[in-house]
Amino acid sequence: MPVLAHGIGGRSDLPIPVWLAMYAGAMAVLVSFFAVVAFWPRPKLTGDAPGRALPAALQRVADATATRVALRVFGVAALAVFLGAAWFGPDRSADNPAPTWFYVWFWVGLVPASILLGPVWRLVNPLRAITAVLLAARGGRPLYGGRDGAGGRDGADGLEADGRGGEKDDGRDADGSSAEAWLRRVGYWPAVAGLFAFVWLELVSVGPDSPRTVALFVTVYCLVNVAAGVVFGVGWFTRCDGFEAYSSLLARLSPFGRRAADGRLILRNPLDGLAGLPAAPGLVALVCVVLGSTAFDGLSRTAPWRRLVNGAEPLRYVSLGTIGIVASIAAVAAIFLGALWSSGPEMRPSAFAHTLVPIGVGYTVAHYFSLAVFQGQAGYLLAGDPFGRGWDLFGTDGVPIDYLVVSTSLIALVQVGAIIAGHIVGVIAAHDRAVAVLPRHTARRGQYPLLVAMVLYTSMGIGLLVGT
Amino acid sequence: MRTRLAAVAAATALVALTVGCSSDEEPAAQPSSTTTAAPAPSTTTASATTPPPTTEANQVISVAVTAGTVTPAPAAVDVTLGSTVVIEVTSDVVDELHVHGYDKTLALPAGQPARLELPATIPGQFEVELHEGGQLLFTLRVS
Repeated sequence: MPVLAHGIGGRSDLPIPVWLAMYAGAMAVLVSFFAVVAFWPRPKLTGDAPGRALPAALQRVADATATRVALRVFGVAALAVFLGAAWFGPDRSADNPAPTWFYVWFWVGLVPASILLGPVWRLVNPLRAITAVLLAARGGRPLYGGRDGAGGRDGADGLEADGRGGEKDDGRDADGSSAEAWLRRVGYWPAVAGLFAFVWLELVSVGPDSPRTVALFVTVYCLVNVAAGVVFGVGWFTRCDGFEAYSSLLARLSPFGRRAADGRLILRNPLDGLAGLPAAPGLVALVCVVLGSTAFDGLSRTAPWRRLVNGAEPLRYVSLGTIGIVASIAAVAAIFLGALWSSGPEMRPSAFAHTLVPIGVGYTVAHYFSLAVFQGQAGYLLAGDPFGRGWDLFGTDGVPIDYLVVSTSLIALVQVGAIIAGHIVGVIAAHDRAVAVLPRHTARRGQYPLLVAMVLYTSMGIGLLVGT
Repeated sequence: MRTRLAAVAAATALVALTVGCSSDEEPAAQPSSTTTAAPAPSTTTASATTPPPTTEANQVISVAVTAGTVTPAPAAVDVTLGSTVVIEVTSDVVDELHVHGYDKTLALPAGQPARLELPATIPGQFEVELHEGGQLLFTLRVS
């Protein structure tokens, strides 16, 4: 959260001790070398491992229409309550729960929810429900292109290919629906734009925590995406809705998955799920936006940046911030693409984009864990009076945030642990993919540039934790 | 090749550990911060009697805001957890001071210094800023 935020982000974590940072950095380097030298020589992660099927009863409940409808109704109701509080509640984030619901419960909360439970947002996304209702009059047919090829049922809309990750989509559609063909060509790029707009709002704009600002952004976002959904079909949301794409990306790390062959819910190795991330245009950009923006969040809290924007009037502040966030994303992308380019032609970026996801998760946990634990409390402490009428629905009126519920030592350990764990998972994923695509005699040499890139990311991440 | 790489890795780790254990944390740049021996009088003195002198020293942080510019430039100020810090702000325009986290506010009259006594009971880094002008004055680092 940037400097001018009033209610949210005014508290940040203490810098981690230098000794802890050095231990962490050394561990990262050690693991990376060990991976290249001693890990398995042939790939083990196929991306579509059979896994262990969950009990049939659980499957029935999960796939039941009643469950699906209930989740959608919940999503729409939550959106309605959120917009109500954001537009009609008090205009200060210190009194209005809506900004906390948006930035903390939703944006930060999507991470553990998706990693633990799977692509939750795809099931709850109210925009899908609204679009489906609007298209119902046309029998589900989108405006662009003839048949309803692009997305009828949840989770089985023909565009989600669970399977051998890394294969490039050639853009040709199988059944002649022009909407589906267009969606395949455009891939994740609309999601990249949507997420970039969000992180720009969160990290660069003036007063991002103002309830009206949040209300306006969400309203515009909903209108744009519902309109796109009406034009291209409900399949739009799978890869073009920024938040759904983000949730689905994270969900690859979930122990819960769905077998491609028969649609059974399974318990699987998260690394295998990650390896099965389907490639599409814009995937690398999506991951770089997430990682780069979190890096910029850390950068914007450092003393040099604070001095740079000290006293800047809004236009200069926003300009500096925009340059900063674009530069951060570009730097992340340049390191990644440069490393792969120097490794050889077999190391295609689309085949390795998934290896950045765990590192991004590590960064996110490190930067937002304490925000979730402390600011997250405001989400229910203020929920008793969302419209500023003097209500006290839950008896929490006037109760302050408890900043002592977790210690600063625990926070520091979680931060460093998350960055290191993200690094280790990323290294394992990169190694497995490298031995899958590289010829045997160059398998070791070809991995070094990407490993150096990952050590660089991890060092930067740790450095940002020390340098606040 | 295997053993050599492993040896290099182990050596790197050893060097890093040694460096890490021996280096100290860099001291943060501080805005003008003086420590007084006598207790500072409370801004809301209700009784006529002065409080009994304590042996604790209170840290005073002084900041001035003129024409939108903060002097000294915003930086992190280290404060010991459990101590009481006195924040003294002089603003050339009417404004309101806000300490995040602690959620304390202080009305600032134009041109006159205003003092806020803050028991530093919550650890972390907290932004201290002006409501109207929006400037960050400094970051209070309580540890």
